[in-house]
Amino acid sequence: MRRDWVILKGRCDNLKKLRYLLNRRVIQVLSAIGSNSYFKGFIDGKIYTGNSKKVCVPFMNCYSCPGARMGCPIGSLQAFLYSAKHKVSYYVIGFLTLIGVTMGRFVCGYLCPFGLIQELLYKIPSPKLKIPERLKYFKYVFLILFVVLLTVIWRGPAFCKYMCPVGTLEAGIPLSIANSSIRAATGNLFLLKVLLTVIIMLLSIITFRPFCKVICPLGAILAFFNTISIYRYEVDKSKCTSCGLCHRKCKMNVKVYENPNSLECIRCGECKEVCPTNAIKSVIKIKE
Amino acid sequence: MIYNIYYGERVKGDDSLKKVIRIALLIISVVMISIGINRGETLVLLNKAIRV
Repeated sequence: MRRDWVILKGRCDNLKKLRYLLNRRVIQVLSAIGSNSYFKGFIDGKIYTGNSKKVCVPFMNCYSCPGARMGCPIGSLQAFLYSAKHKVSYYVIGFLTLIGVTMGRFVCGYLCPFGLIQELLYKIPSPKLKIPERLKYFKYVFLILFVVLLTVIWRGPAFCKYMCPVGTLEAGIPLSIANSSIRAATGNLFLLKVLLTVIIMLLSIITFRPFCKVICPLGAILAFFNTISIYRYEVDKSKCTSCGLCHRKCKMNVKVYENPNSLECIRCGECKEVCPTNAIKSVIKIKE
Repeated sequence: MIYNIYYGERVKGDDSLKKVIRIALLIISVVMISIGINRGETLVLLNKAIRV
C-alpha cells in the first residue's frame, strides 16, 4: 500500500513538473517567435522598419535582428545616451521602470529569447558546473561601464558594438549570411564578437544561463526591482521547514527560503514546484 | 515581505515603505513614458531603424 502511494506520488510530481515546464517553455517560444516574426527579413537580409519599431520589448532582443518587430531597451538607451540632441530618454527609462516595478526579472525567466536559447543548450548532457558567486557582480560593472560610461565617452553604442552576443547571434550572423554588402563589411571586430558568442554558447552547455548571471545589463537593471515588484514570491513561514530543497534545485543558486525576492531570481518557478510543503507562492499585489 | 531574522516576525514599517515606493515608481514611470512620447522619442527609435 505504502509502495503504491510512493509510486503514485512520484507520477503526480512528474506530471506537475511537466505541466510547469510546458507552460513556461510554451510562453518562452511564443515570445521568441512573436518578437521576431518579420520572417521576410531573414530572407531579404534587411531589418523591419515599420511603426512597431517605436516600441521596445521588455527583454534583450536585438533591434537589428532581421525578424525583430520592436526595439531592444538596452540598444535604445544607448542610442539616446550618445545622441547629441536628447542624451536622456524619458521613454526608455520610464518603460524599464514600469516593467521592473510590475514584473521584475519575470521577463528573464519567461520572455527572453536568449534565455531560452541558453536553457535549451543547458539541456545537452554534459558535466554541469556552477559559476562562482562573485562573478554575478560583473553584470553591474558591464551596465555602468559599457552601457553608460563608454557609450557617452565614445559617442557610440559600446555594449552593442563591442560585446552583445544577443546582437551577434540574432542580427550579425543572419544579416551577414543573407546580405552580401553587410558580409563584405565585416572585419576583425565581428569575428571577435562571434568568438565571444560561441564561448557563451559553449559555456551555456555546462553552466546555467552564464550570460544572464554575469553579463546581461538588462538583468542588472531589472534585478534592482525584484525586491519591490508587484509580481513576486512569498514564503509562508508557518509551512516552510527550511529543508533547503528549493536552494539545491535553484539553478540561479538563490536561497529562496531566506530571500524569495533575491536580485538573482528569474522567477522560473522551479522552487515552487519542488517545495514539499507548498510554502513558496507567487503573488501579484501592491500591498505586502 | 520582510521578516525579523531572529523571531520570524514581519517588520511592518518596511512593508509600508515598499508599498509607497511601488506606487511612486508606477506613477513616475507612466509620467516619464508620457513625457518621452511627447518629446518624440519614439520617432527617434523609428528613424534609427530607417537609417540602418
